[in-house]
Amino acid sequence: MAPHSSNLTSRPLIGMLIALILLLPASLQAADQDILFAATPFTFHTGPDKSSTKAGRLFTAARIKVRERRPGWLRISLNAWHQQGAARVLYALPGKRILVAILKKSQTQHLKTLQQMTDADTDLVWKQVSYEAWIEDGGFAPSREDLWKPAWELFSTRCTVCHQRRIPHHYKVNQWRSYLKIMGPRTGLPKDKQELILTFLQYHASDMTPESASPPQPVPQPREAGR
Amino acid sequence: MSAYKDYQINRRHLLLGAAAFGSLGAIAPSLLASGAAQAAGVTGTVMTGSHWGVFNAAVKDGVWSAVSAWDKDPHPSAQLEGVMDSVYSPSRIKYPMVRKAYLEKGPDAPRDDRGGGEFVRVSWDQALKLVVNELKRVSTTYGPQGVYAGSYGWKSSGKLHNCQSLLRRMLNVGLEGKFVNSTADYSTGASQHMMPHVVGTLEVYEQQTAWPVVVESTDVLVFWGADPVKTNQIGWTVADHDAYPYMEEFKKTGKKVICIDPLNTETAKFFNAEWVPIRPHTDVALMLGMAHTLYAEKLHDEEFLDEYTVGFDKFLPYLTGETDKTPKTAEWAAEICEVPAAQIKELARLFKSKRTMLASGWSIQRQHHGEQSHWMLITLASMLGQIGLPGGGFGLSYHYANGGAPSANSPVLSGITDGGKAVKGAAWLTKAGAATIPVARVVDMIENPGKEFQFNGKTDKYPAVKMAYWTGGNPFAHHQDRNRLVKAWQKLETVVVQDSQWTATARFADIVLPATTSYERNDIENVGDYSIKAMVAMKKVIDPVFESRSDYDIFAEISKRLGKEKEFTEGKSEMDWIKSFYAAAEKQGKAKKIDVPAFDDFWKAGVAVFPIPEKSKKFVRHSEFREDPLLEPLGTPSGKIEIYSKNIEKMKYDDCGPHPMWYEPIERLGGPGAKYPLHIDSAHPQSRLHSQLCGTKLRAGYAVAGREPCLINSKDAAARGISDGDVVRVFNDRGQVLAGAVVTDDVRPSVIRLFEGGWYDPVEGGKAGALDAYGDANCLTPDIGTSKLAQGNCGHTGLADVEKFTGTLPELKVFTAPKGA
Amino acid sequence: MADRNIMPMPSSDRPLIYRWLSGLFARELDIEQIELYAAPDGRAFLDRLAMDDAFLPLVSAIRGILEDEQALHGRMLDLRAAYARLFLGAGGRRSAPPYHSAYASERGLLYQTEMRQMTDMLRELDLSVVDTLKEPPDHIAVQLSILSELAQRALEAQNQAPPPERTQASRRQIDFIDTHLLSWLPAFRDDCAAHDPSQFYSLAAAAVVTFLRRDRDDLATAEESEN
Repeated sequence: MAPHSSNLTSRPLIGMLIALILLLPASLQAADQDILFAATPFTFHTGPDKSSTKAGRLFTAARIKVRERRPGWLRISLNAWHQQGAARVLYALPGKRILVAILKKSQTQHLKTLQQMTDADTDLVWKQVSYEAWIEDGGFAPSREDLWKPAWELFSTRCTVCHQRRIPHHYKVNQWRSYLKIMGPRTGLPKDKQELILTFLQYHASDMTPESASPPQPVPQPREAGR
Repeated sequence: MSAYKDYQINRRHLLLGAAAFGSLGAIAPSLLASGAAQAAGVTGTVMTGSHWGVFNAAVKDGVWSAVSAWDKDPHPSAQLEGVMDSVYSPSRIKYPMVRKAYLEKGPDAPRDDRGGGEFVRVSWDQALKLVVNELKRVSTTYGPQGVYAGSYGWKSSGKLHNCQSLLRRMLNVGLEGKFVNSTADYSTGASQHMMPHVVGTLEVYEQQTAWPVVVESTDVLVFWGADPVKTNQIGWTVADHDAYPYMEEFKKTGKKVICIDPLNTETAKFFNAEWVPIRPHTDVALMLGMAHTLYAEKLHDEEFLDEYTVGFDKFLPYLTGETDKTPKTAEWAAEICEVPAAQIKELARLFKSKRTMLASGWSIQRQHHGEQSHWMLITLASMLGQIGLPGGGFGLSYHYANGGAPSANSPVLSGITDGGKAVKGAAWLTKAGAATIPVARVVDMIENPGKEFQFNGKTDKYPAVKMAYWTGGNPFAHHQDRNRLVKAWQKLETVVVQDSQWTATARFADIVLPATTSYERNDIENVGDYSIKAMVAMKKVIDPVFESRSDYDIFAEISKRLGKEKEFTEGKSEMDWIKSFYAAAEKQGKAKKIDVPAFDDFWKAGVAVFPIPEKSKKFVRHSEFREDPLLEPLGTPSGKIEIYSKNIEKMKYDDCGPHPMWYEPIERLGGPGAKYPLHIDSAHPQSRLHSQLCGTKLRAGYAVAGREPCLINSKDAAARGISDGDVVRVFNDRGQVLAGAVVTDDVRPSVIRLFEGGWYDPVEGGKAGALDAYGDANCLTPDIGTSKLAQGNCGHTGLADVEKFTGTLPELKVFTAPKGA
Repeated sequence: MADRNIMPMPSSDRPLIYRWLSGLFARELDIEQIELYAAPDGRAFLDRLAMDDAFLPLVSAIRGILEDEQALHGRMLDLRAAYARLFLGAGGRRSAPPYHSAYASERGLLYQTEMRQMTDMLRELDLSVVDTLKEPPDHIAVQLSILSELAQRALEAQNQAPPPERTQASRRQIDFIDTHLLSWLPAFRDDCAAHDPSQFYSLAAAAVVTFLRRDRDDLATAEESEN
């Protein structure tokens, strides 16, 4: 799903369709209730109970799809991108380091590669993968939009104490990540709130126009030997 | 004469006098009432904090009488006496004032006498009525971009009385955010925009490799355009001074220190450093010469470049001269920077062979094309390959706020916010007000409303501002090209200045509001910008003097008059706010398992100090990136150090190319068409914080002939018949100032030093081009952007000449000189 | 002016003269005061003062203000501006801060020892400065008021008290004038002369110094003759 700006007129057509869908009766919405966005960070587990192995971490605003529901647990899948050679760190988009998940090393073998592409600007190779795991139920939002309100509250209050308010679209997605590494702790907020602010800023960064933010659709490509 | 006769004459006159005076009682109402004053003021010691550190104020009968450093301050600043003096200085703004012509005719008044010092006292009520009416009128008449509230400056420490946040808070809640804001600052304008492209982060305000690591592992410590012994006296929050003991430690090791600087600085003298008296404004050339040497002698770290950087291959043809037929050899560099080629090569080899820390200051980026300086420095450091190693690589904040002082495990206080939360609409995504400009382009904006400008890859338009509200800052000190500013300032319809001192900026206002100093109100602050090692209760030392009011009270009152008192104060008093900031810290303390005392205990003790974990003392900047560049990529598109930046390439700027380059600035020593023979080194002062404390006793310690000292090399002085102590005129096409000559070879030939921050004192106030009697360096500097990329300020660009002043000296009043008999 | 009837103000008027002089510096000249000067009693008062050489120049200046009714408003504003420039800091280094501390203290600051001495003196006299005047007590207006008070008490002592007390009251005034007024007012007067665009305060300061000197000498002479 393309990232939203708060301005209705800048949503792509698909966004409008989804908005319409949300207005439809509940029964017709069933399919979309499976697409959720993490409102806080989550820990991945290998099975639907706390004692099972911890597999990694899911980050705020990550988009997940629910595959199965058990009491208090969800089996979810997600699509994300990683830089070739760094399969543990999953981002929302190729070249744009919006953290979706960080996996334990042992988990990378469970990643399913969907496609890969080479970023013309950097020559880096990015792979789109899908991953499944179990997480505890609770703490989701039906859209990213719902997260931006609390994020804005935090950003507009905690980030003007020491300097003038920064403008999200004056900086790039990747720059925000580095800034928040330094600035996050200076807010004194707990880590998950820092991450919420970060994701908010990243989704409103200068290189997150709807077009550039849409991940390329999987295109069937002849697999290169050895890859 | 008989006593009786005297008595009769006197009595008659007494009757006449009494009758006359009786009905004239109102002419001279009694100032004295019977009954002694209530109990004398407080006597005791109050601890508080400031930009200069934590200190104790001795109070006697409600009067601050002595100041002493905090016993736990490792290196108290000598400026504390000046801090105390600033409270009782005759330069205090005592009452609300309005420019005479403005009082008569309002915003339609002629503006050519702004700056002339014709003010009339008014009541607070009258002053605030004027302010509120103007805010409303301007925003109604001209729309949301009419009021400029970028209001830049160093203000005072404290989480509550942050006058700039409070100003914007008032405008956000009271005027629906209808104001123009600023972004960036005058400290690191160029680098803070360039560094994100190169290393993907701010870099300049980030923790440095810890000093203990430098002491242990650095073999060669290079201060490149940095003078930490001088500049670490101050801090943005409250200075901790923790770097000083480590500098002592490093000195004791006897390891090599090199200072690349046009002056033999305090730091150079302290370390007995090797002084490389580079020609100013040529640092990039010197770095290129070193880089070329490394490459030519195959000393560059190919592995590091390959693994951790991108674009070296695209930079190389420029370095070797393939692209422009000019190989950037040491010889080529020597021509430009005046460091002998042999020495350039020697230095390059030395840096490579030993663990070297390149600690660079910000003067070298506060110049035309300043973006190149730290970019090239990092390129050089990449070729040396020591980035991310203990004690190696580069650091851009050792000279600022005690960077490198190990970080404590401590909670962070929250503070007053700018109320932007209140502003509705999508504008908050793209603007931090109704519009934002790069802070140093303020005069360009006033002169050219509607003009398009480039900034970091974006095109924007200057808003048409009609009113300025300035607090906590002194643009008539920090902004370049004073005469251009004086002229442009006349375009504003209304100027409000809120300050505790009669700065030059206050003199250029229409409405002047007297604010208290930090020492006449309560506040709270962290200690140590990087160490954050303590929290200090900034306790009120004395009651407000004259009719001054705290910034919080002033803005709360204005908000009230705009109908938004509740929104501004949230029903909280001064102490309520302070307690709420502390509560946020207590909350963190619980989560991080840090012992945070209860508020009352903290307030009573005055300070809470937190432990510094061993881990902090081992911090190495960029080590995580070096250890695992894939897991810890930099915030650049490639995740690596970008010696070549595609992002910048796409901008297609003619003054900022896709890799570091040597650009000829508009004027430099030895540069093409250099009109004047001396470079102006306008560094940060030794005994002020920029312009703060210029009106205090500290000035007696450095002023020469009552003016700002101008350091001049003995050769240059001899050639001009100038002796130590002479009054000199420093001049170029942009302006002229008087200063007091200090003849010394601590400044290299063809360079003069005139610290910035001297209080502009024009012989004819308000007239562009007037002779400045005191020595404000920014009368001489150019007001241009560093380049289209960062639009930073160029305080360190500029040439001038000096001559002995033979005219009649404009009268200079120093209050310690009792005259008359 | 050879025939001008020169008549120094009588010593019985001393308290009132000092209070009047104090008033000139306590605040800006306002329209209320101008109207009082213009009224018959005020005119008579000015006429009487004009016969004393110490006050003639100043009185001429006041009369000058009264004369030009057309320009009155403008002149009042000019005087307020002159007052602000000289005494309220607007003149920067070209001003005359009206405090003993400013001239006598080591660092030229306000609120120094000299002020403390006034605070002590006020306490001794069981007096306090009205709280509508937000100035430290070594302000020239307060010091002149204190002298006015000392003169008043001396006057009462003269009429009622035995000689030793009369001498004491006289000596007290001499000491006060020497220590707290003539020690700095000549320099203050010089600064007013150098920086007063209106001339008014320059004349007022000169009148104060002239009168103080003469008054002090008269007191000393009277004291000698008593012994």
